[in-house]
Amino acid sequence: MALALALGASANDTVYVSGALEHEGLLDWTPVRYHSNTYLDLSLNYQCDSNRHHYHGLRATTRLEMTQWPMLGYEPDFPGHGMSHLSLTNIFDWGEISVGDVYGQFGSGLILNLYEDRSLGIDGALRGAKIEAIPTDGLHLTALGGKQRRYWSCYDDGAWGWNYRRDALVGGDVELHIERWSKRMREQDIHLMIGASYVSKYEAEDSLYTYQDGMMYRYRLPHWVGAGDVRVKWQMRGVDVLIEYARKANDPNADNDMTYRDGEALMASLSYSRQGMAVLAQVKRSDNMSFRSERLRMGIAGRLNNLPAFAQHHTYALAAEHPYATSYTTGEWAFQASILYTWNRKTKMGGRYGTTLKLNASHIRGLAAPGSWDIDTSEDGEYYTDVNIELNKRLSKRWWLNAMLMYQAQNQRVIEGEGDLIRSGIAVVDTRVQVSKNVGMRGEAQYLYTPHADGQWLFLLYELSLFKQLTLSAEWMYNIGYAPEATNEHFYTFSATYSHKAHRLAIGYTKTQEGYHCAGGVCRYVPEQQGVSVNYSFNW
Amino acid sequence: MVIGKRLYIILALALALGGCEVIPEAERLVPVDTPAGGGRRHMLVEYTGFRCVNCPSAAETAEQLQSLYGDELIVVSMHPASNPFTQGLYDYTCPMADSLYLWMGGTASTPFPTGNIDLQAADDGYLIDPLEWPGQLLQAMQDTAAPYLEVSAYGDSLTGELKIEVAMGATAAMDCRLAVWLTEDSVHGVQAMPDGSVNSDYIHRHMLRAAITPERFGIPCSLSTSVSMQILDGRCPDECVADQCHIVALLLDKDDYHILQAYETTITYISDPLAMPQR
Repeated sequence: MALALALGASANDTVYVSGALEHEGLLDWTPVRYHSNTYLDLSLNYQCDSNRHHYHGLRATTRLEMTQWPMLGYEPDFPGHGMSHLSLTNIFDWGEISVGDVYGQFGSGLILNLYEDRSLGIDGALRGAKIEAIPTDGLHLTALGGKQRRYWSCYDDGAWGWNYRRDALVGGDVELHIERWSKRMREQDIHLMIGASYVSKYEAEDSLYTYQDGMMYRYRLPHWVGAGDVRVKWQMRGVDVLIEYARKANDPNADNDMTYRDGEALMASLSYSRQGMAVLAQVKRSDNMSFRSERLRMGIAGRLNNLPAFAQHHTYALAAEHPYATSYTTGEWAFQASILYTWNRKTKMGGRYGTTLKLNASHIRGLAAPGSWDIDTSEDGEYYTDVNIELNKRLSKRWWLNAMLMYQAQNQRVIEGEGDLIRSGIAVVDTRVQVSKNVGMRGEAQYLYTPHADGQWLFLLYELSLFKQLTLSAEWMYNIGYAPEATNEHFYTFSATYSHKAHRLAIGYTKTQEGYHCAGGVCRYVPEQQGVSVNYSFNW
Repeated sequence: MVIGKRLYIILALALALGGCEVIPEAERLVPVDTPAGGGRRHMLVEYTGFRCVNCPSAAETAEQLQSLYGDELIVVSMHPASNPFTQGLYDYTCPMADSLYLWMGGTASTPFPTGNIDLQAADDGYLIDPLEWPGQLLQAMQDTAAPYLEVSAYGDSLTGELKIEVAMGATAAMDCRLAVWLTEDSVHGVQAMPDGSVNSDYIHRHMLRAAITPERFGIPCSLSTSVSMQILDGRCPDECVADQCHIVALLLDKDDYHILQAYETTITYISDPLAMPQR
């Protein structure tokens, strides 16, 4: 309120505070220890009711984190606590100016995608400034600069628990929305966007040496590494075409074994959608596109870009058992196609309530050689394949059914660094019944067959929802075996979740197996866990 | 529009600040002279695991550095049990390896390969990427001052008992710590390789097998200007091939435990127990 008054707020202006509290915890049995990740986001918002000097208001945000004893599987630098985020955004009629910790994405993220993903432990925020502007209709501009966050460790001259590397980043993005300058295009609902971005990262030189042919050499490293991106997007009557190309100049780093070769990525996407139908086909080639703020950084943190994984993100447990992570350094050719079709209700195929069928296929292979445009057609060149068909149907007034059949192949060596090509077949049946107004039930049965790795799996889940506030669930996963690495182990989770207005509390007992949690093409190893889980969230 | 003009200027400035530096191919590697020896020996700890596909490349880097520096560099490879890369059907782990790994900040999530020079912390911690080993070692080699350390090791070929004679001295009296380890060279075993294959007859070099001084940083000792002798008892583990075993002795700083001097020697096996050194 004081801030609002200082800004000369009037009675018609709005000031409000919003926030979110999120806590995820596990009381581990062996040894007895409580692991938790807690985040408190606070936002002070001031909105001007009247348009005074083009000014619309401001937004101040902060985030406090307590991850000193974090959930299992995060990187060694992850533990810490303090104020991890602080930013102030001024909002004008032509755009926004933000100072503090900012996120951003240029195009599809091939050269810049700074985001936060708590499940992976990613926070790519830039501490600096960002300007987003629409100075004239059809012209979008973005400029940003700063230093990227790296967990909590400090330099001697660090401030606020933040690790300021010696590096810095500047970047700009321009998008021309041509239809804004053509009445005819707008009348025909045609959208044409041409965009270009440029990012340059600075890093002080490291003393890196190599021993070759009996001699010691020092690497001469570029201080400034630039990356550019151009894209064209055309939309018309449900058809959407995107072509995007990115190139990165010499960037020798730990990921690419100190290679000076330029990196590049090319992506093309075609989609069509209308009522009841959607079709997508896309292809991507990338080579040596690992782009980080620190040249010696490996693992999850420190990424400046994000190459989308052309693999469907699965939520069913066994379908997500062997996930895929984008191959940034060695490169890949990725192909994906999907079709969704809905038969309307009261038709022969749709039945009384309608039927939706989804077909998705992904196929990802390596490059024949570093820098090559040829596809590696050898057996080891297959990185990932996923072909699945999914049926969604309402069987009656109270009964819904979702069923999926899937073929999957995952090259373990690409994801985990070792292993074979795991081919598996998966079947899922997911059914939900609304017993009464206040009682609902859901059941899942999943089966995975593979002769590789740890063999066959069975998954069962039962969920009971009461009064739209309380959900009780039990899930069980069993490694049936019949494979070299079979364990015949049982894994289970029993939980109760209570929701009341903006509060949500879930308590359970769980034993989960080790594996990889993946999102957006990035994976994090999660070790086996057993104990009492506590999750709480509150939004206001 | 005034604000618009300012934006263009800001953007232009932002982009002008950045840039792109292209290093011509002929200028990417700059030859460097390596310093002459000064009597001080250094140790490279190589953390590795049989499931780590990139570790053979790091082992090759360690070998290249050893061929460059000869006796001035002692390499010890450690397989810590706390990292998943060492877990599985084959056990090359050693409790001392795990103890040091955890002390250096290693966890189950620490990416391999990694390593350390002289048990000393670098800018970003104790564990450093193999890319940084040559540079860190080059820096460490600048420091030539070192106390005197020489080791002789004898073994009973029948019982496996070991007697280790450690001779120590310094230019000025000082307190420090003495750690003595047993390593085994040329261990034939299993290793995941960079091409995804598994080599079932991989030769693991300089593998830490046992700690003769069981404490993490050895035993306290005092150095004087005259050479003192200490005799330690040990035993060659049953799973080791006696002829392939070496003894590594380290003098460590008593406060931060960094290595002041190191020595590596082979074991001389004697069939007559009466000929073994006595305390």
